[in-house]
Amino acid sequence: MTEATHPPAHMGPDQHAGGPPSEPLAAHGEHHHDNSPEAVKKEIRKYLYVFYSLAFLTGVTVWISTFHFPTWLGVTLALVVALVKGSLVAAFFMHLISERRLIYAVLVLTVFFFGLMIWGPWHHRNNARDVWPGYDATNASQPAPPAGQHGSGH
Amino acid sequence: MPPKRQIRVGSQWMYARDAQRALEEAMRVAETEQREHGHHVPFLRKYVFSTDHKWIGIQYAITALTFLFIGFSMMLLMRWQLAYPGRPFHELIAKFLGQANAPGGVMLPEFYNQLGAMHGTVMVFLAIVPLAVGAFGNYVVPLQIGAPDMAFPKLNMASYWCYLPGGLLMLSSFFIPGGAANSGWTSYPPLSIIATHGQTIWILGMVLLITSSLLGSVNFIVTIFQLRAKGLTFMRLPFFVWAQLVTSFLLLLAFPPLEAAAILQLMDRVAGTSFFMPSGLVISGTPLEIAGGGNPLLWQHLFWFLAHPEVYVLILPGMGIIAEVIANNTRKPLWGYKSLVGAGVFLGFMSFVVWAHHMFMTGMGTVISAFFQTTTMIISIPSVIILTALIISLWGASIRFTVPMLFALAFLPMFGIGGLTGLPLGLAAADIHLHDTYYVIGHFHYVVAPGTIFAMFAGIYYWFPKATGRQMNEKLGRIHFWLSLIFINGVFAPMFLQGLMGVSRRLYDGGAQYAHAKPVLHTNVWISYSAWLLMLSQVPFIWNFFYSMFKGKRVGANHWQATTLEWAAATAPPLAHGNFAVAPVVYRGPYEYSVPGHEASDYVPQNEPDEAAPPPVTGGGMLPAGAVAQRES
Amino acid sequence: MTAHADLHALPGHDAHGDHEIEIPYTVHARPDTGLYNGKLGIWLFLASEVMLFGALFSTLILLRTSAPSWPHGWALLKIWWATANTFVLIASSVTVVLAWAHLRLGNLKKGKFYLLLTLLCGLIFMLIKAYEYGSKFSHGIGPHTDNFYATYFVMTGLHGLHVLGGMIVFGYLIGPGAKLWDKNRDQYTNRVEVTGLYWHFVDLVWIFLFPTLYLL
Repeated sequence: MTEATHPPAHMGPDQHAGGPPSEPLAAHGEHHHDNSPEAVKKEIRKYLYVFYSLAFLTGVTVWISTFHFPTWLGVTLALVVALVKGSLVAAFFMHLISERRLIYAVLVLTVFFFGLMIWGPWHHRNNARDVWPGYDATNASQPAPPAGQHGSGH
Repeated sequence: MPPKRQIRVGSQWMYARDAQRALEEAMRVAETEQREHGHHVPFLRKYVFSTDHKWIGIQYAITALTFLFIGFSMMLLMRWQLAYPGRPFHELIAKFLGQANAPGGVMLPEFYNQLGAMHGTVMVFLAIVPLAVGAFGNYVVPLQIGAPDMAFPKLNMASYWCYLPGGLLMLSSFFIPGGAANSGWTSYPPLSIIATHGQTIWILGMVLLITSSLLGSVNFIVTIFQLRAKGLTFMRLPFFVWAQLVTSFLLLLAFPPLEAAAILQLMDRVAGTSFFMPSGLVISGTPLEIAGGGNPLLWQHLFWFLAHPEVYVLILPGMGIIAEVIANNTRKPLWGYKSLVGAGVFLGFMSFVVWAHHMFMTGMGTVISAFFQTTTMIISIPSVIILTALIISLWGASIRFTVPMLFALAFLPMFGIGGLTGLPLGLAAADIHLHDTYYVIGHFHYVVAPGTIFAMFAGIYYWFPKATGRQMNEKLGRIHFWLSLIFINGVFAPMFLQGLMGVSRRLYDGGAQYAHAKPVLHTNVWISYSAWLLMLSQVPFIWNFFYSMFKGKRVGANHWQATTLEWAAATAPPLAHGNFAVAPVVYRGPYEYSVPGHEASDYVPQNEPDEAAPPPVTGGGMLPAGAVAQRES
Repeated sequence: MTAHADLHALPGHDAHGDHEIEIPYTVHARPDTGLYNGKLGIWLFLASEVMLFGALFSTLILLRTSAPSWPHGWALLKIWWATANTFVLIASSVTVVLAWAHLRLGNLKKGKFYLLLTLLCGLIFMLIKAYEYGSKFSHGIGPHTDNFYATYFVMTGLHGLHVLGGMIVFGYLIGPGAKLWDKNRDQYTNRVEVTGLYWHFVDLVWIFLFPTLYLL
């Protein structure tokens, strides 16, 4: 839990004597987006460039897919392009590039748990396949291995 | 129509007509204020679709306590079957259950399964979480951080109005053909996918409950980050607020996977997909007509990815309440506040990395088992830190043995038993023997029942004066406490014994057909009697709760001489009105009890400025706690 | 404890019945976090959405890697329609960010125009999606066919619901919600920004769904 520019913990009473908490400080919390016409117009140009890049990359990823590469290569290439595209959207359209630390902290936490959730079941399956060769055979048409192995939870 | 001529009112001249109107208006306002502590908010908006966090908190509390009662009653029915397998119920109960569920007064195995699944679901998702987070979080957090309300009041209302229909939908499934969900509260496939229609209702109910939790958690996190009073830094937050913050993050990030899993299970049930259905399933001799190729263990992963953090959702708010009550009644600062906070945050984080310790029996392989076994051992450290800090806080204190404090004191050893008995379950080797036995039931019930539920009782007795302006009866409270403490141990302690003997959970006859259960079979009777007596022990509480609401002893705004901000608000802060007459300013940490050199009293409220300092320009911060808005009626 | 009169109890105080409690930082940023409430709220919500779609991606990866054979999306699905849809969604992302930019310039008319374009893009996306679904259903293919189609329908279906949700909000912002502009410009602009963030996220999910379902 980050605190960007919070007042120090041992604040003397005279520093905050008077006034409801929001008033005196609210003004300088406002510099987040520069709303001057020049700045916004510059941003608009930037958005258009991002749009062109996204359109181009969409073409690239479709073009790559026409080669029907082996799965590992196809997956890698497609994911790399998708990651670049996703980063562009997140960084510029969602202006994550100039966002606050609190948002970053939340997202880092989320991405970590996201990775964990992808890893868990997948790793389980890879591990289990070594121990129990019949694991994937549940997909074939023969009867499933004994279901008694599946405990229920606590 | 009065004549148009000017008269003098106070220091200004105005038309008589206007003056009369102003007077009438003022009188009307004063009257309503006196009558209902609020403005002319229509009844529906004030009491039904309220956006006031205090009223929503009360709505949550009453609804969740009702569900708690319902969930408990289900268990009391099951305990009869477990104590006396096959013996008919008393005819009144048999009539209530109906011929379909209990022909001739004897409970059917199918109905037993429904009660079992629904007891777990109701208790976890409809009773404890809404009580701990929805009720206490809603009522106390904005007050404790000096906020006028939650950050998104309408979202808050929506959150309650997802929860209530979700709960009612779940319960309604008892009345459809085939009855309620009966695949356990964990709803493991393939069983849950071939189960009766109750399971579909269960999923729909869950989707509503998850939505409610998500809305609530976003609201809590934003509120705590954005609406803290001036001067209330993170290290000055009461531990209860920290606990709620961590809890909200758990709800936010752990619930969506279950929502996804619920959608997949719904598709498996209604659209014929095979996400969780392996190939080659044969049911009663007939092969299933499905595509197959799915993975039943995937459900377990997604389910426990939620449900393990959920365990900490159940316990963390309880720990927060206990910390508040202990600091207040020991009249000492909490020992190791920073360690408590650090441990709470670490606990929340680690709770996401332990989920597969529920799945040691699924043949995950040694690597992954060892990983989750290690993380499980690690997560016990912050729990122990919290418990230790709370116990050391008692050291050298002159303890006030109030009713909330009694519950808090009982929480410590009870949660200790619950936590320590969890360790053998976290070790893969020991878990092979103990998995799915009554030992597991004993373990987590010690955490949740004499742990969390006792914490909830402590919270109710502690904040009741704030919410109602009246104190609950102490004598009845003590009776309630001692009887509950005795009988709750009577219920859960023998379960360890049964579990160690290898008696499985979810047995319709309590293990009567197994030779290895013979030596401990008689404890079923003992447990059942304890459970029924435990229900009787709640009678003083229920009576006390309602009686004190109207007839209890009137008390002041800061009845317990507490330091945190909620006690600086008025008694029973008016609804639809904001919380504080003047936004409070915080000058110090949350637990400044018995501060050396502070002669006036043994506590310094968070909003009391340092004595040496000049008074602030505005009044809010300098008024002593309780003086801001003490209401007389 | 002395008995003071509650300030609220004074006659005449806030005599208006239809009074809303003022919540701090609904419009302007809190200095220490640098955020207004809605923005922190939407990012938290998006974090939970990451976990929601994450669970579905986890499902896809597990089912696909453990399946003896898994069809290629390009062999079964209409790649060109999906590519068109990708362009539509990217375009809608740019229009919504342009709407926000013009509102910051104080131009409601242009802002609403771009919001309308966004809504139209959403509509086109859904129509193409409906055509895709329809052409599968008419051949008797549905989620029940096999796990490839099951993941395809569930993931794109859930994504489609998100598009629909976004469209409803845009409709509100163009229509009755626009009244807020006269009362509080900043708050209206914030609402567009927050809805935009959500919409970009929906776009982002599609950016990953498109290759994983159609191209691999």
